[in-house]
Amino acid sequence: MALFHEHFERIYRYLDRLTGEAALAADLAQEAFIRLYRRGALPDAPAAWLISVAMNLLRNAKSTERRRRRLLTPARSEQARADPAPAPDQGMADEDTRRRVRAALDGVPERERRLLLLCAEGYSYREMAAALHLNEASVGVLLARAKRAFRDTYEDTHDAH
Amino acid sequence: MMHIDDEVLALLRHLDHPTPEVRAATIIAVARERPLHWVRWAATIVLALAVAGGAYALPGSPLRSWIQKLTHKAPPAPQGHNAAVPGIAVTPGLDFVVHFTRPQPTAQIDVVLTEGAEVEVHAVTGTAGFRAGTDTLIVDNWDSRATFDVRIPRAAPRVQVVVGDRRIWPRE
Repeated sequence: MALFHEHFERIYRYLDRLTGEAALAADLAQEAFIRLYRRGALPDAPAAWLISVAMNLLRNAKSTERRRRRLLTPARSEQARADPAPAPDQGMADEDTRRRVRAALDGVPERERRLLLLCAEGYSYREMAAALHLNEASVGVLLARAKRAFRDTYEDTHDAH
Repeated sequence: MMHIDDEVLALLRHLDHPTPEVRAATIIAVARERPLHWVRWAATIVLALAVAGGAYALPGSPLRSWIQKLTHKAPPAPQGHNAAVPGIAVTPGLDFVVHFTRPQPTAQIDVVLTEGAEVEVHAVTGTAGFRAGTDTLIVDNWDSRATFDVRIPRAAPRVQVVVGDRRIWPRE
């Protein structure tokens, strides 16, 4: 229970930012916890295990284009509807920023992008290395490269405006 | 350890959608459900077996004759003498002794000369222990009701059969 509360949101947010598909992210995050429950025993490193499983699920979902919508909760759509609608100008500005952030993130190489997003969720170097099958010693270098690439690309899109 | 600075975090937040409200209890309930695809597989197998059983049971069913053809086995070929009987076979040396360890007054031991190359001893009825040494074949004939069949190659240079301390072959 505590594990769910501790990790569900960060896995969902990681997948959501990575894919830009909230529904898919929600389904995969839930599926990762279903797998954990069915596993019976807790893995040695639950955080790394969960995020690895979530990434495998994402890869499978992307390769087969079969998306599971089993647990779409009414609460999600209700909450989405309940968000206050932004003012028209503010909404446009937000949408513009969102588009540029998405473009900047897409401009970062896949591995570095994943690292950046995992780091943003507070995963440790060890957990990131385990999840992405990297040498732990190289995580810092790759992460620095990822941040630089993200910033540079974002600033380029800013300059272009 | 490197941390993402606030500016990058703030930018990434622009991508976020509201987090769905999912309860752990819902996850557990779903996890406890039997996965549907297993149910489908099981149903398919049961259905296939039922159809096959029905087809097999029909009078004059080609399926039945086909299965019988597949599973029919030729009767086993006749086996050699005493093949199913416990015993031992040893190639004799120049001077070979078959030694029954106990006198066994009620036992029956038949000695037969053969064209084979090995000395064979079989317990035709009852049980016994067998072991082969250098130029010796020892039979522990602890079962007093056992009967034995000793087959000696005609071409063997010298083979003796001794029961207890009495030689029965060649006769003393």
